[in-house]
Amino acid sequence: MKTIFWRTIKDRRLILIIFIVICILFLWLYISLFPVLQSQAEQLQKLLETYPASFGDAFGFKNSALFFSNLENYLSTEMFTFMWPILLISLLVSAGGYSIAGEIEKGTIETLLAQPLSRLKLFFAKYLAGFSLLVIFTTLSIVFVFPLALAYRIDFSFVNYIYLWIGGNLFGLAILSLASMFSAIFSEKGKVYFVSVGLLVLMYALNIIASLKDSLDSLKYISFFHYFDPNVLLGEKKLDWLTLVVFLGFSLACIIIAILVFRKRDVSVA
Amino acid sequence: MAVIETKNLKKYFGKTHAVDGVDFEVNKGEIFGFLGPNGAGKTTTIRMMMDFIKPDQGEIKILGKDSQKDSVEIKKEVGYLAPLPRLYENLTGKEHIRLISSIRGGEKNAQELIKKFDFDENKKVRTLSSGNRQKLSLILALMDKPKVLILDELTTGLDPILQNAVYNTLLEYRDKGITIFLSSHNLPEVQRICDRAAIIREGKIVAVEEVRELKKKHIFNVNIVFDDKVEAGDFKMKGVEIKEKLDYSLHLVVKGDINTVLAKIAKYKVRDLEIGHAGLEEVFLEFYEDK
Repeated sequence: MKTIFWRTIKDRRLILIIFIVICILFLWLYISLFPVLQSQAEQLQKLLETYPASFGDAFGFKNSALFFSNLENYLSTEMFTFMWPILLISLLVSAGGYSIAGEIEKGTIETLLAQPLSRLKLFFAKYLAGFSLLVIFTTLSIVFVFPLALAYRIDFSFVNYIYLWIGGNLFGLAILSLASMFSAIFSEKGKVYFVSVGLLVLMYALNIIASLKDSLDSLKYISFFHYFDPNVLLGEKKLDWLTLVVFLGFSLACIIIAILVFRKRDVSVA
Repeated sequence: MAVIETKNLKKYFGKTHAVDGVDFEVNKGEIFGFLGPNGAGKTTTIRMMMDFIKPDQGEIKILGKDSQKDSVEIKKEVGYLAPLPRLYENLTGKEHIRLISSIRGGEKNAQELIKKFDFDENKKVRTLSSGNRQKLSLILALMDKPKVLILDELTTGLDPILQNAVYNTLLEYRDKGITIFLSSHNLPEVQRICDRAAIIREGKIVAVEEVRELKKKHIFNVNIVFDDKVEAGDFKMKGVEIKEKLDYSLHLVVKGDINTVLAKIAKYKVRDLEIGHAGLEEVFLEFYEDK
């Protein structure tokens, strides 16, 4: 199991490094702009106030007055609501798709299954490797805020980032579990990407729709993006129990389904 | 006790009966051929033996253990070669050996096999020819000195010299008491190294034969060009069919022993002689059509 775990990490290390570098470059860009933007906060706030209120709700500008008040509010909206989740989703869906379906597609699964290694261990080795990638990504991509903020002499609140780190890992865990479940079901990683990303896009759309009309408000509860809200995590330093329960419960359900399917299914290489 | 045993094994893919009630036993220390044309159900049977796919019905026992429930235990003692081995393109042979030996808890004779098969372990798989990929897969299957070897289409992509080296290695393993299950659609290969063989056709076992019996089921295509005019009547004998006769040449189909025909040919001055094996389908149609 340890061998497969390390092999998977090694296979994915390049993509992980690329994603972290992209993230750091974006952070650098946003943080370097922050002092300038903050000095023009008044004009920008007025501009944002001209947008419809529902636009602010949908895209995270819930409290435009606070937008430039500190680095956490600014980054939660600029970086952690959009670019960071995209990178996180791409990394984890790709890791999940590669884990089982990718091995089946390449045919290398036969080499692994011919060894004295249970399917359960194989699945968990791959899953834990994906989880490690998640933790490395969230940790490094958040930690780099601090030296950059120090370099531009911007104040920051360390504790807020811990909330973001926990929330981001829970969100990532749910995505990884979803992709791993589809990976255990399908034999082509393209299908895993398509279905996983399709579901996440649907969830994102539902979250926006829910914020636009009161009668559709309850739709937000079936969207990950309702529970993972960087404005609340990083800006307000809040993480409620429901977020924890939903993400952990969903992940557990996906893992159970994945194991049940993968242990019983035919693994046939074309 | 049989080392490999299947009972009433069935696997259906929709309406296709890929394997339809397969029974056979493989004894300790024998090379058992599993002979059949493409699509006969050989690979499906092997995949069920390796627990890659689940049987719809029936059971498989390897070393007395259930192939599904005790899959991990069984695989500690089994070396497997896939028909078209898929390897990690970005890894070298050495890294493959390290990966598999680390999963298996070690290897016993990888270096010996590398030397025997003249394999360069430092090249990445993506740069290897199909023959070298096959060599690496064989090394991976054999390096833990398993008690049972399951080999699916063993010599695909191997040149004749390497085929001989592989056959000799298998015969050595057999002599050491290792049980070898070898699937093939190549009748001469099975006749050359196997002790017994099961013949599978359309998912059913049509015969399990000693190889000496199988050897009688050769069909040869013989083309002879003579220096002088030939008398076709000379070749009218049991098991010989004259397919085509010209003044100076003959095309014969010989079933079974070819020596009588060769003796007859030797009486003539021959300008050209070509002897080929008939395809497996032709042999099947001739000998197993009614089964």
